[in-house]
Amino acid sequence: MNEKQIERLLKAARGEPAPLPPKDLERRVLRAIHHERRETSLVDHLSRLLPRLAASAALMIVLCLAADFCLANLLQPDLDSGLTQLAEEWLFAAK
Amino acid sequence: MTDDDAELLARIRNGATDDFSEFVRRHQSQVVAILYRYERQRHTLEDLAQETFLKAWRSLAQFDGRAPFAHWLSRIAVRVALDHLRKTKRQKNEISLAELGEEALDWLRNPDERQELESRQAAELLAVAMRELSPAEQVVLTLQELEGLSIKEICARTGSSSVAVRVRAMRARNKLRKTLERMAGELK
Repeated sequence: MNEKQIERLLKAARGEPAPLPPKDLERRVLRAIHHERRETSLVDHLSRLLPRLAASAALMIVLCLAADFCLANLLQPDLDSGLTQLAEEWLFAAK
Repeated sequence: MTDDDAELLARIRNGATDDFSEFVRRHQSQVVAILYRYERQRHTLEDLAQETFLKAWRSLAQFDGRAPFAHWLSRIAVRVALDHLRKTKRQKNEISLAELGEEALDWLRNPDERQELESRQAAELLAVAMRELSPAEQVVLTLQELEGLSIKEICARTGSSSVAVRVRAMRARNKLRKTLERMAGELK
């Protein structure tokens, strides 16, 4: 196969007309765009919501720790003795 | 960029998403024509055209309007085609003469001066022979030989250096010649 023959082949291929675009291409593209925007907005919502949830959870943990600390130090009896009392009164009441 | 395109782009950037369909209407023939050089199956071609416009939509913010919108869009179409060739290269690597029409096979047997090949048959024959080329070589050869672009224009479309484009073009043409010779040899 020489260069001239390849050139003829390329020249013939160059002349091939492209097919017509699909009739519903605009509709398909718009549908895909809207679909993508919906997905993006869901991700946006989540990314806005997640820091708030994390902050709320952190605040709750701090409050629980503070409450436990206060209860442990200020109130008597503490949780251990309360449990012991419960056990004596209810669980071993039959004795 | 034409005034019409600039005005339309401004409307889309201000939130009129549905106006993007006007861009699709204006440029769909050009996009399909580019992609058809790389993918001949109708269904896949339509998917690639959709993907091209979707990518254009995603990166619309990066379009600065200095070059015509059509040029910018054709760069995206070429990139989509290149990605597609890379994906399909793993599946469609073998050359099968059975895919070719009788006219193309006759031409391969005897590519003499008198016998002119019909454009569709020639394009099919080229598409099959080009499977031996790497995706980047296919793109360069297509842009240079079928689209008639200059080295500078190919660099702009592909983002490659002019040295890389020249080397790929030369290598692609050599590979194409050898492949066609091998295909012709198999027929004898």
